[in-house]
Amino acid sequence: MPGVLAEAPPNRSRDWETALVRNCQSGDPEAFRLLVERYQGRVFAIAHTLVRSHQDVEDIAQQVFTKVYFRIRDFDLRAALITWIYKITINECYNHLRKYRPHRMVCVAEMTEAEAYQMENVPASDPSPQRRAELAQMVSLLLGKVSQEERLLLLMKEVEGYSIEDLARMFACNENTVKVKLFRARRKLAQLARKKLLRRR
Amino acid sequence: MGHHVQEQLDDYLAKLLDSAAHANFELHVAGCSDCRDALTAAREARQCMEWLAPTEAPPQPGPDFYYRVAESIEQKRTTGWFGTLAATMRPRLAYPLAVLGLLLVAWTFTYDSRDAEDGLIAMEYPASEFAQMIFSDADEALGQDLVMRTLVELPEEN
Repeated sequence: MPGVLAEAPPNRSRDWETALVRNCQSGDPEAFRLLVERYQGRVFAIAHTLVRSHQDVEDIAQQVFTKVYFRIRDFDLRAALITWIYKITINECYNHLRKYRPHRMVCVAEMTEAEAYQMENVPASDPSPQRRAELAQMVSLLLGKVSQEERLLLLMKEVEGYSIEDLARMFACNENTVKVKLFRARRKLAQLARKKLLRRR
Repeated sequence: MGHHVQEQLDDYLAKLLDSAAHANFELHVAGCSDCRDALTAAREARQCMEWLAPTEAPPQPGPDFYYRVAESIEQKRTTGWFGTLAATMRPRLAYPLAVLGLLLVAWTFTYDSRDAEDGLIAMEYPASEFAQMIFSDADEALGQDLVMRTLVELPEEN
């Protein structure tokens, strides 16, 4: 279980979070500083997953917390705070990728057949770090084509390693709903990957 | 059939099913093409997502990170709504659009007044006579009636 949730029992963590959000909503600067210090590590990690450049990660994280500051009044505490922060982070990452895509992102259509085959069949540990970064960017591009909620779920489950139970708690829904949504998200991603990567074989 | 997969698929992939449930799942998948397709899709998606997991540790926020956030907040506060709009739209689009908007507003205001003045000059009416031309409510109603009648009684063209 990732750090933010693992540190305290669910109920205590939830109470702490509610108090923190309420204080931030009432404009307490110390509460906001605490929020930044608590979640900055997770924001850096998820931004680094999608955007590999260190400098960009820091800029994105800065933007994320600026948005959190201005929008926290609208946060209604129905879902977990970290889910809301993840959502803002992922949107910010995709805004960034869209903005700089012509210079930094490899286009899936430019892949050779061998590369497409490698992406689907070579174990994740095999290619060079450079190649791996390129392939990661391609998956980022594919993820950009599923819905916002599906993208968030896939990243939190497959990359961040949250369990179904955690996700149900964080999204404020039951476990079966999470399973069904996850199932649909995976199916859509697989269809996109097949369409984009395999049609040229 | 699909219902079974949706409930157990994740536990199967995470190897969390006990041996009996695991065997039942595989037996079910072997005989059900829908579930087999669902399992294949889930495996492919997980394989894709594996590429995203970074091999190197993410950068750590520096000790002055909070101050940078505070600066950014302050900057956003001072720029106001136009600054936010400009940041959203990219400055190279926002500024020309703002100038265009201002020109449009200026043109709208100047157009009406100039048009009215030109109209008066063209009719060569002194201001006192023009004031008398304003219709009373009764005249206006009569005018509408006249228009209606004209429309109704208009003979059809051959």
